[in-house]
Amino acid sequence: MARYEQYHVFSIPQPLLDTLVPRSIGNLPAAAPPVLEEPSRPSSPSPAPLAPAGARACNICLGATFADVDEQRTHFRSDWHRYNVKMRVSGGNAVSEVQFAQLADGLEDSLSGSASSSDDNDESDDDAVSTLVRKTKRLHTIREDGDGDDETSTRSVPNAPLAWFHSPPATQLGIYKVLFPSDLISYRGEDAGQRYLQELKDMQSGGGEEGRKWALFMTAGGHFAGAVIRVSRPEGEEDSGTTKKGKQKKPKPDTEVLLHKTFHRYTTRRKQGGSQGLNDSSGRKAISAGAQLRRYGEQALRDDIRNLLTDWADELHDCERIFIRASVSNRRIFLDYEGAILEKGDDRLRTFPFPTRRPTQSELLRCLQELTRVKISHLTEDALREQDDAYLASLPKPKPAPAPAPAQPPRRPEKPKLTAEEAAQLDAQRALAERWARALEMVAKGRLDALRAFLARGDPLGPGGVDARAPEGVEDAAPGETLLVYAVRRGAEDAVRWLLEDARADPTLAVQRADAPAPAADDEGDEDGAPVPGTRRTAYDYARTRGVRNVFRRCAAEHAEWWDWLGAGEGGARVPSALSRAMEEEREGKKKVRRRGLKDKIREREAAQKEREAELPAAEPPKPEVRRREPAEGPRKLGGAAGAGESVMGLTPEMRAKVERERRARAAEARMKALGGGR
Amino acid sequence: MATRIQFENSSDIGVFSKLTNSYCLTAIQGSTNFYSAFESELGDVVPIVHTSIGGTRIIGRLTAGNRHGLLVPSTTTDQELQHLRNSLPDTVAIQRVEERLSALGNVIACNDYVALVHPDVDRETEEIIADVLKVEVFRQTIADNVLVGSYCAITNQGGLVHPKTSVQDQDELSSLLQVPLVAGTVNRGSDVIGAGLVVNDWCAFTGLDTTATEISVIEAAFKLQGQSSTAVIGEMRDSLIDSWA
Repeated sequence: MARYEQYHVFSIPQPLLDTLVPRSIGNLPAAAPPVLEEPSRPSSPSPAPLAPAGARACNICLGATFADVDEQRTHFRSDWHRYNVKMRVSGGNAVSEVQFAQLADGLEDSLSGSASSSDDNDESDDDAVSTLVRKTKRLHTIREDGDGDDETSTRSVPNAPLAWFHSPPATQLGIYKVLFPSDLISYRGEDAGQRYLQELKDMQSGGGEEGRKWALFMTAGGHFAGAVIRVSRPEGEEDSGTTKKGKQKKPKPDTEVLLHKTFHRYTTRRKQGGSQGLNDSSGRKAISAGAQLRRYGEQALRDDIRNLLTDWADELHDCERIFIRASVSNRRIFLDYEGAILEKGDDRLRTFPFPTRRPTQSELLRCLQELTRVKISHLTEDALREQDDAYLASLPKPKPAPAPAPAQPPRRPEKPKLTAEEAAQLDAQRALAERWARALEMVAKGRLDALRAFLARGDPLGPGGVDARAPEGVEDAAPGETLLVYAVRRGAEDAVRWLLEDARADPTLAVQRADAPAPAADDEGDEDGAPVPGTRRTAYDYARTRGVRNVFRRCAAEHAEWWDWLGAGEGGARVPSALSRAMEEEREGKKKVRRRGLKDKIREREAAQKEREAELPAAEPPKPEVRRREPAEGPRKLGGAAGAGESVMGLTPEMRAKVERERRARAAEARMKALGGGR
Repeated sequence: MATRIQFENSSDIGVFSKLTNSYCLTAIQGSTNFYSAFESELGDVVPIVHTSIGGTRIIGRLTAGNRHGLLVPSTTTDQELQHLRNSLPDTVAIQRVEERLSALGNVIACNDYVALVHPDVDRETEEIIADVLKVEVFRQTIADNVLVGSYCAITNQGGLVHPKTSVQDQDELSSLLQVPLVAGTVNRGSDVIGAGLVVNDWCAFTGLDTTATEISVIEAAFKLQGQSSTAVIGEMRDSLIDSWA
């Protein structure tokens, strides 16, 4: 059976190391077959009788046989059997006892770790086998996904997390780039692959007397886990089976946890998500007891972690890499405080290049394994070449996606044709349009002071000063319109008055605006109907309100000499008549007289009515009328009828009679009143 | 002696009843036909209890038990539990089990000494099963089905398992349980043994659809008529099992 092959980053066998060739970014090995599955594949799952199993055998566990029933029963209760049963049910393959022992050993650390550090975990499943099954499944999926995903990500992003090396017949090794020095990671030269390889070879030795040390820290959601771990064997003990701690007799004690610690504090807002600190900083401060608790928890967690860092300062100083998993805000717990042990720009700092789960001791160990275990795939060179080809074939596709290509092409063909002059002209046009837009806005909002200042600066609206015509491309104004026409159209009386009187805008300029609405029918009546579209029209013709028109007429009266106000032909402003102050006063006076007459009349009428009322006997107030209107609402109610009679349903006969009497009396009164009113 | 009965026109009587060597549970129904059928067979030997579990009538699938005890799911109400305690003999331990797989009858198959359980049953539940029912617990599958309670019926005398159980698996299980096993069907070819058959050491009840051949296999498998289990192998195997195994 194939050996469960796994290489530790810092102890890759020399013969393998010698054959390694860096794989260039373009031709990476893809779809590495999961290493774990390989050994188990030959021993295929079918419970086909491997041996004449007989009664004292286990068909699931690859035909294990037993001497007696007790042994068999013991076997059926063993973890190995239970693991196999579960794996078979979930479609996996059974493993031999040796393999199972290896698996269990491999996961032992994490198993015990999870038991020790996560006893407060919500899933309190201390069943080792189910944990193992879960982990194995996860391992499979991670490997399978990892092989798919890593590859695709390496392809599209040149910045892949893994550096790959190829060993000629059919072996590829993948190692996380974060393990390499930071200047190498950021190096983008041609010979990067060679450098990685050189560095990898250097990594096999060295590390000092105590071996390389890494620090791993994770914090999230109030959990913290940290460890300082020796990741390579001390120098000089390369070949001996034991470390300086003699009791460890395992064949490869490559890593050893030197220090570790986990904390948990209550900081997260349950069912809301996020930390209390973030919530506080986003606005209103909650004052609930829970919020206080969480605030305290955050504070305490930070203090705990910083104290721990201080305690571990010596070890951290010796660490070769420091991995920190923390959100941006949580990162400040570790760095950037007064007396910080770790400096912000420290080039030992790394983040985990893969997703990590809740910070626990076991998760730390899993991450450590993930980091230090070399990814292995077995692809022949042909297969590699095929994959490279496939990759190259797929290259053109992803390329256009990231580039904002579709937006560019339409503009590009135009641009090269433009000479410098034309470009300048285009710019000038754009600036002019912008200025127009500003002027129009000032007019529309009646900001005359601003407009005055604006117009005082040379000719901002183009040649012609205030009478300049709008260029094309101004949003509100039609091309050819003057500022005055725009003001008139908007009905901005103040602006119109200012333009006419102070800025002396020309009201006689003809404006063609096919799409302009026909001017409102003039109640002065002396205009010859609606102008035929296409005939000459001036600013006055665009006035829609009497106020604006009066502004024109008043102007015409006061400054008759400025323009040909009343001319209807060429050079005339087409104002029908001037409106002098005298005329206005006269009209005002007439209005007053008329109004006074109206008031008198009303007063007379009221007096007459009072007299009449005084003659009448005490008239019944409008009560019955109100009542009478009620029935109209009747039918709208559910079950209501047209008549008001329904309201007496369900009353006693006496009450009904009483109501009826009342109703008749009211009807009689109404009749009497009607008679009296008619008189 | 095997009796064919029906529960409200359904032949899946194992869903609506539970039979052990020391008690019998039946679901509540309007008529007492079902109950009477049990009463006529079991007479005064074991108590027959009308009950519901968590308000449902599928008591056979929700409970698991043997001579020593009865396990009921967490959905059982306090009243039901009290009623069961009052009705069952004091020697029968009753325990409510907080288990995710709440259809205990489907995930546990047991006689008075051994229990086969679903491989995913909790560790705690496994311990409770062992303590309350006084059995050895094995996580097993029957013909690759995890619902061991649905696909087999076992007593201290013998057992009937899913028709597609391989000969090796039958041998293995039979060695584990220390009782002879036969692969077979109930209710005219149904492989859901647990639903079509309730059985204890001296009598069996099957769905009304069960054929005569199936009845004779059942009687032979559970040694209900003085037959030896070799009868199954000798006489009936050809007609029944060979098509499956």
